[in-house]
Amino acid sequence: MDVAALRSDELVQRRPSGAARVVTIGLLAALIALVVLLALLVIGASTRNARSAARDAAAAAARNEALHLTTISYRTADADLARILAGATGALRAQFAAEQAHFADTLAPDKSVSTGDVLAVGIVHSSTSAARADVAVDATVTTTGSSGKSQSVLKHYRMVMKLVKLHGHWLVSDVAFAGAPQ
Amino acid sequence: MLCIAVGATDLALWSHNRHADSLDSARTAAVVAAERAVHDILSYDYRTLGADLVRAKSETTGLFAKQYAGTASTLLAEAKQLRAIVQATPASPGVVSASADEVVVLIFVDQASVKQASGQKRPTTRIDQSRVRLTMTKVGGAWKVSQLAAL
Repeated sequence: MDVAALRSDELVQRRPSGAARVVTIGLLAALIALVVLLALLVIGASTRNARSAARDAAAAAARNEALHLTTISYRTADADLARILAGATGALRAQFAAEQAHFADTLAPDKSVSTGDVLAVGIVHSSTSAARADVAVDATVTTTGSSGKSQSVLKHYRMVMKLVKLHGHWLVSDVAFAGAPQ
Repeated sequence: MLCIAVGATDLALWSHNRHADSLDSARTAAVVAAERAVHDILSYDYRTLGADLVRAKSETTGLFAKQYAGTASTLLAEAKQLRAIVQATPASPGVVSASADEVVVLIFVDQASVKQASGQKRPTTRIDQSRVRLTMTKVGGAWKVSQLAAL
């Protein structure tokens, strides 16, 4: 065998493999960098998605509770109160829980029926665990006197709600009415 | 091959995050503009009416700008005659919906007004509680009111 010929063959083989190794290492480094970047971006996306979902869920909870607070009938008082309690926590829940025993009795004399209509819900601020919402809601309240005559009143409410997320559910902890009392 | 796939995913996620961030800044900027605009549009003083209307007009756009310009001229005459001073106090604004160039804002506004028709001995005061829904549209980098409705 020609030693010189062999050596030149080896040389021919080594040069391209050397370059190929550099390219491979370069690509691997790039891949690692891209994967690290991917991890960071996924975390970032997940945070943003969580905040967006929280905003929507809090708005929906505020809307529902506003509707429940303004849709109450003397006929279904207990069930209506239960619905309000289901969407409430903290101070709001305590307030209505305290009224539970007498709730139906306060509505019965006037045969009071309230029908709510949520006009708009705006999120003032929200995080993944708490939120504050403005709710514009109307209620048509119909009462029937002992004579049998009934009258309806249209009420315009400006509710400012505090919400918290507990055990995966958005609940209303407080309802205030905006502005100077009239 | 793998680099291209991962790189493409990176680009998609980066774009997604950037879009979410632009919505956040849209919300913030639109809300600030809405609060100022609702104060300027719903407040006026018969003594400075010209300047008040010019400032308010500059914060409106589109069809609403035309509507406002129309009502403004009627307002001008009435306000002067009644010596009207109206002070609008907006409460914390809430975002109803948001996109990169349109944000709908709900604001509860208290309008305190003082009016005195000629011949009246004393001025009448009243407070009107309103629920105002504004559609803010991005026009040349600034957020302006393109729709205003009292709910």
